[in-house]
Amino acid sequence: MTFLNSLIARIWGPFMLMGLLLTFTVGFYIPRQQARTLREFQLAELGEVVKVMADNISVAGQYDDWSNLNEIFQGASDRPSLEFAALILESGGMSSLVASNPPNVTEATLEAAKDNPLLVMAPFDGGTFKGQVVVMGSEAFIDSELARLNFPLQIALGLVLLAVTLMYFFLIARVSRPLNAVQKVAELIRQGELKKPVENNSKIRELRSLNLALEGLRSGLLEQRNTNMTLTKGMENEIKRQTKDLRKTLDELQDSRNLFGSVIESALDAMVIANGESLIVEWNRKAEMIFGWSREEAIGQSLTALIIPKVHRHGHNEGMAKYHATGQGPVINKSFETTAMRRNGEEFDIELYITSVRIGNEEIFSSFIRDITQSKQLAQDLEHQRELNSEVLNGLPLMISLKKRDLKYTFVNNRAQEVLGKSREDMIGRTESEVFETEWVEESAELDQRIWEGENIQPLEYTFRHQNKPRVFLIGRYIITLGSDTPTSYLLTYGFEVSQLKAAQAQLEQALKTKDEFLATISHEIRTPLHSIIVLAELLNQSDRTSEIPDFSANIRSSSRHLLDLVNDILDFSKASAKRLELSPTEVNIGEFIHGLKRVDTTEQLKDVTFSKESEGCEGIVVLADRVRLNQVLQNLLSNAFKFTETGEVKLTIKGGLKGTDFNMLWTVTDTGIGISEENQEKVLNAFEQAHSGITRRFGGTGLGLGIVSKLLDLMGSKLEIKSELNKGSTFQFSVSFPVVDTPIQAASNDTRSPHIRGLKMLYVEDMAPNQMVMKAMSRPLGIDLHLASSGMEAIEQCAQGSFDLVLMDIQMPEMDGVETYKALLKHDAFDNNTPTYAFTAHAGGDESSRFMRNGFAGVLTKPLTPHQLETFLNDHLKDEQHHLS
Amino acid sequence: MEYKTLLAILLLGLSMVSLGQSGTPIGKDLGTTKMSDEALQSVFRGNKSIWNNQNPVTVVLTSSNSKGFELTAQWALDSDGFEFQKHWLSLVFQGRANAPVFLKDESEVVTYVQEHPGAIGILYDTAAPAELVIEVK
Repeated sequence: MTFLNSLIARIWGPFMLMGLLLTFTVGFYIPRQQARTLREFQLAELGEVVKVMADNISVAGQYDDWSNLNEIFQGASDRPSLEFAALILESGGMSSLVASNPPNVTEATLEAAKDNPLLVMAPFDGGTFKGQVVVMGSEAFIDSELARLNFPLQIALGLVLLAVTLMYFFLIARVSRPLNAVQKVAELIRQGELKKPVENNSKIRELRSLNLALEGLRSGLLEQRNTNMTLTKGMENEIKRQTKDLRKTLDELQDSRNLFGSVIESALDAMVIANGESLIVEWNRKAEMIFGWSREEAIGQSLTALIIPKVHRHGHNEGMAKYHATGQGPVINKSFETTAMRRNGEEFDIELYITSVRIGNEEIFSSFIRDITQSKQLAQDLEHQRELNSEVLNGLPLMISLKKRDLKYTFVNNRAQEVLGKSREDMIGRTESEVFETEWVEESAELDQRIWEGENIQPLEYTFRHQNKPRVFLIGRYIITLGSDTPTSYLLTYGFEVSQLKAAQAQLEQALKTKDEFLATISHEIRTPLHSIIVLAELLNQSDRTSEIPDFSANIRSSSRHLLDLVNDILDFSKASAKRLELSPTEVNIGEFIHGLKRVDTTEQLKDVTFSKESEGCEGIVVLADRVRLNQVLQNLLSNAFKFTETGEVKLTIKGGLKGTDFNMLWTVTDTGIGISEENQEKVLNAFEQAHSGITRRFGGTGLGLGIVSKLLDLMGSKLEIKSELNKGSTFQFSVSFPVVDTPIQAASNDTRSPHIRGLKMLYVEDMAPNQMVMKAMSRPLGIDLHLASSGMEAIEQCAQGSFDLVLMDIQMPEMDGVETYKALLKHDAFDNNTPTYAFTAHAGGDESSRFMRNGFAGVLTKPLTPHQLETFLNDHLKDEQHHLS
Repeated sequence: MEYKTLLAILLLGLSMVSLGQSGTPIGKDLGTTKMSDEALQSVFRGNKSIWNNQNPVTVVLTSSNSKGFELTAQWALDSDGFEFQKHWLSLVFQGRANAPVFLKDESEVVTYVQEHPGAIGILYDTAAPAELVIEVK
């Protein structure tokens, strides 16, 4: 809008609009009208031309008078407004393009132009020939005609626009800029710049007059200003003098106020000054911090309402009234503790000192207020901490006492009072020799003295009789020093009871001794069968022993089994002790289980001992129990019974009955053996212990049997009870409950037919040559097609060459172990991943087995494996395979 | 089509070997008095617009419904009179040839040829003046 309102816009704007209008008219409107008119002319001309041509062709045809055709056709083709002309003849109902001018016109050209408004047609009838003349107007003709017609107009338009542009610059230079210069001069005059005369060099008369008027105005103002300045200067001098005197007086007053204010502001206590009507007249920074009211808010407020709690207001008002009446106040010029009120209404403890002074006729009261909330809280915290420390020290199971350098007690905790049999009151402030009359006092005082002298004294054991029992305490001493500026040292004496530790140490020593004895026993137990195995194996190599081979091999087998049982017992006990033994319950038919229990003679020769079983209420009962572990318990008990019974009988009785949803059984093994003395009955349940070492020498064994039984029964939630009389016999009894299974176990399949092992193609991966030899020896009678691989790589190569019915994989192998080998086989294209692959290992632990199963093995076979076990395994395996296939 | 015309076409078609057998070409100041049959056909097809002596070629024909016209069309274009007219109309329309002169009968043809140098015509029924006859080689 600024430009539209300018002088330039008002003068030049109409010309510019006219220029635009002219541009529109000449550049757009007129050419458009001309084009339309030319088009109409062109169409009329084309109509005439085509009509003349048609008429002449008609005449030529009808009268054989072709005299005008050349001229007519030539005249038409020479017309610039004509794009082309064409001759179409109709014959037999068909139209065909006969000729055109120029000759490049085709029927397609005509078809494309049929909707063009410049296409004009005229029929002719020449008697023998009929048809149409077609002419097409030229588009370029219109354009060229327009250009020709409008060229002068466009030149004129350009000149007009140039003139309008020049006019704009002319107006800027000659009108707008001089006016702006005048405006700047006027602005300078308004701002008081009167010294510079107004320049008047404009060529425009009106501007010159304007500049002259401005110059008159400037000179008049300059003269007036000089006069005013003279008057003002005199007044200023007078004011300055008076101001200087006043300022001096004010500065002195201000110094005094500053000193007073600084004292008030920097005071460590809140300072509140009130007049006789209890209205606050001064309120320092500390008061702001304590009460929460700013100085501006507090000044003029009632002291009573602002900071005095409601409970004290009545007393305050009475005190003020009394002071005004008598000039005496109970709290004036005194320091006392009371409470005050913060802005948020909180009441807190303060220490208050009030003075009064009379200024003129008015009494002024100055209050010095100190917030003692924190100091009171600190005192409480300190007391709390002291009580806490005391409680902690009193609650410790240690004897603790503190003595100062004079060796007198300053602190004794509860435990020390309890053990030493003296109260705190008896001991505090006294030395040991003043309190106790015992033999250790003298030595203790000497040790205290040596500690104070800087000697390092190791803790010593003392025996105190406490609760009518002698108890051993370890007593230690050291110096503690508190504080740095004025250090205070105490002798701290502590004592803790080591009676239980001493007992535990004794137990540990006994346990170590027992373990040593056990190791000696184990060593003996292992060496004995090993001796037989090694010696008999050596003797087997002697050619003249052929007749003794059956006895030797039987002895080797017996010794090996004994060795294996021993190792299994140790492992079971080790797992049970580490709490890694877990039960695996399965459905067990108790009647069948009892039926399967046989006499267990571990000795080579059957003794004169009978074995009987009695069961009651167990037939047809199916429970969820760990068959293997239950069998292990009974085998151990029966084995012990037979081992320690020379003559008489071993009897097993089972009494069963439902107990809720469980089936409870009381198992009793009774023998007429050597019996166990009462004092040894508890010992035999411990690991490694038989009644006495003579038993071991006489009967052999590791002493683990009953220990394992005890652990297994513990897992089953039961406990072994022993009743025995020396040389008469023993009774071992336990009660155990298992959940009853409602669904009866399906009858075992009668199909015990062994699948055909012979010809089974089996790969055995084993790095140990002896083991390979053993497997060869076991496989040959069974007719197994055995293939051996000595390493993981060799196994992969063999599997790449052909498939196997079964793979047994040793685990502990160099370079690539069994698990890695099996994983590699699973990734190998040539290996059928459905090939049953069993881990064959001496690792007997349950964790290890789980690990192998997780890695995809079909099962785990444990070394050693007897030929019978191998055959049983293969039968079971093949039955499973058949079952899966069926 | 009239019976006579059909008869003429039939007769000419059967005997059409050269113009000399049925008609006599005549012309004046053509720059030559001997022309081959093919050259004559070319002239009557409108392919020649100026003689060697710079006289313009003027083809003179009897009226389009005359027997001579049909014979000439048959000889020159191997077609009928309609196609011959169409051929000439196309040539004239494109400016490639001067329009032929159509006369009422052969006597007018003789007269026109005698009076216009460069004119050429064909006589079928009328005896041609010796000075105008063009010998067909």
